[in-house]
Amino acid sequence: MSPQTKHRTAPRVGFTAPLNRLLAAPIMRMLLDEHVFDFYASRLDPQLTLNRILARVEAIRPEARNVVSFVLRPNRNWRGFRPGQHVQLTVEIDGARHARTYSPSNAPAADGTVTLTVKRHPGGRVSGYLHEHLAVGDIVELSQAFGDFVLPDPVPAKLLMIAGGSGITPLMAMLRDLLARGIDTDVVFAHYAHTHRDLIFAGELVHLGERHPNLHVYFGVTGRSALPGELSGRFSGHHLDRMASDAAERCTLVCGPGGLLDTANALWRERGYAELPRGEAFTPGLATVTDTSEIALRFTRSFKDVRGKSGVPLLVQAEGAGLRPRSGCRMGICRSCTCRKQSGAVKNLLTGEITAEPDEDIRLCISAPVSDVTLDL
Amino acid sequence: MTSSQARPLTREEVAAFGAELDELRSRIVADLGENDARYVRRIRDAVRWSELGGRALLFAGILPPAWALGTLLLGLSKILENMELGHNVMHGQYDWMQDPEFHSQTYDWDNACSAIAWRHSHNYVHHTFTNVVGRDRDVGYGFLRLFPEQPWHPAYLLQPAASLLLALGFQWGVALHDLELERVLRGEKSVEQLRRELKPVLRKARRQLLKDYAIFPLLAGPFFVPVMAGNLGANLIRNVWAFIIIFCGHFTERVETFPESVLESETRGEWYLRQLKASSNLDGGRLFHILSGNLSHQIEHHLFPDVPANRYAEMAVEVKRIAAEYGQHYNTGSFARQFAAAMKRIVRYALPNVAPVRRAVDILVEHVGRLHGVEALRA
Repeated sequence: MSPQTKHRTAPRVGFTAPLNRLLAAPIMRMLLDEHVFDFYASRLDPQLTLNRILARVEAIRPEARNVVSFVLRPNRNWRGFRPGQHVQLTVEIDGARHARTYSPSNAPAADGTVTLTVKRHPGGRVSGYLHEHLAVGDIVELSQAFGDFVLPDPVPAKLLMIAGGSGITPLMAMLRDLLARGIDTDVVFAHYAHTHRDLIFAGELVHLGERHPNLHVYFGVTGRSALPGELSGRFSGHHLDRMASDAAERCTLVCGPGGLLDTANALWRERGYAELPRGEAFTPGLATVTDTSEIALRFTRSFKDVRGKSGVPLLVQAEGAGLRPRSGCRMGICRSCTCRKQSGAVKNLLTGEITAEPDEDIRLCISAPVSDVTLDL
Repeated sequence: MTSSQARPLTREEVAAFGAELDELRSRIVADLGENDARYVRRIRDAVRWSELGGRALLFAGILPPAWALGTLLLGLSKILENMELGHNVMHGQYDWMQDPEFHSQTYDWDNACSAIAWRHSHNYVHHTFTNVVGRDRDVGYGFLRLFPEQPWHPAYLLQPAASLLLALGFQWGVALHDLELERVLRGEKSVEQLRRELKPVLRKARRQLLKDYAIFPLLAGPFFVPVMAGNLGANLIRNVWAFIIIFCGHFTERVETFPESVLESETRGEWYLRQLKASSNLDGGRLFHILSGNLSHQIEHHLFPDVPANRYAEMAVEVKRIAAEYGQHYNTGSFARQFAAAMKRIVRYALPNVAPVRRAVDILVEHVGRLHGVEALRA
């Protein structure tokens, strides 16, 4: 492990930066808009764009059952990421673009590559496409990195990382980054998966654990009987005692399905630990809303009145009614689906907040109606 | 209102008629995919290369053939961009691609009318209230009298000349359209509101004027004048063509207009029926359809304004069959015939609705028709 320079967040000033400034001038905007520039530029080089981040697939490697890593090399517009952050990956499937959010699993690298580790979900349109069709040399689009789920700065003396399933990716990026930067922090790293075949990065974690005395790796299997030395069943207080009796003193980071984060939070509260785990659940609590009384939805631009259900995201209901609103992440982060609500009350499914202001902009994917709602769609 | 030549339908028949069109729509929408995305990108490619070619030729515009060719190519590029790309994209026909380059909410066209004003006056007002006199402001654009239902006024005597000016400056007519100047004149709309709405209109207008009449000519250095003249020529070509195509879509011989009362509790089937009766198609080949922005399939466009235009040709076969099945007139004809009919309206309704005038115009039109041997004029 060699001490590294801090290359990770410094924005890379690409050759298009002066060009960007030039094109941002009002006079240039009249001559050439971004799409026009990108059109002609892409004839010279498929990755040459003004602002859009286009990344070339450099390598593809299997990581576990139904889990594959894609090593991507973005163009100069990419400004780097901090371990733990997300990017939105956009691919075109049968003429339509689809975006999904992933956390890079690699440490930010000097070569600027981004590794996305993708688990294939049954029936998952994008993950299925990535696994079956994406090939080395293909070009995909990325967003800039975003999100606050990052290591505290300065790095705490003791860390506990708990990863459920493919939730390992941001935590793996943090761990790899710590080790690459030679930061000698005491890390307890637990990775849970359904079976042994579903454990991601298992070989590398074992190897790293052997090389770094301050890194303590635990594996947990929830759907099979565990081997000696492994954790059996879902994450519990018993597991916590076994791997980190000093959990109260540790800065804890949790990433996995919603249930894992709920369990951890409940456990921390029950034990009265001062600092709750920092967590990220990749299935926001959308399914937990069970109230489904019938309400009326009006889409003014489309002249459509339909019967809707309270508690169900408006994006889903609009699509169900045959509309095609813009959408992106479908988890309330990209704001692609921002839409003017003309009347009615909606509940923010992430925060539980209910707002009834007329003419307010809401994000359709995380807003569920709690009354009749009229949308400018 | 304009008498209907179609068989009156019962409520049940109207519902069944609407259901058949809904079914057609669903079938096409479910089938949208890679081919449609490829189509709109090919149109985009043609727009970009023809613009580049046109402007490059104009930069060599000191040579007359290069100037003429450049003007023509740039005009063609603007036609393609406004009509087959911009108009259709701004309708949301390609929103399903989720590509910001082809999305109705982000696209802005090479036209003096801003995208936002256009989406309001066209996508919303015109496409919802199509040919409802008093509601659809495209019926005469607030200053032309094209149907007997519109009350006559002596000022309409000037409309043949006004139409010619509109044709030449069509993009400016469209840009001003959403401001509803006639309502300001009638005192129905405050000057204050007009001033507020004028701001974005002026911003877009300035951008368009600077682009074609200052920046590109300046870039050409010593060839300032030929480039500016070429750009003007290209804009004129686009204006006149757009005017012609659009007048052929709603102002032909047998299109119908409607009183506001039809809007009360209008069903989906009735809306479809009104769109069919209010629109007219143009026969032609594939290239003609593309250059008209597929507005040659005006009927299909009005029935399915947000279905990709490249599908209208195949939908037209079905729509024609459904219209026949329900005894409805499917208004289509040759370009010459439909255009002559629209021009006839401009002359005819400049004059008041009195029998001698009507007869005089008919005789005159017949005479002109015989002189030019255009059978269509007598249609």
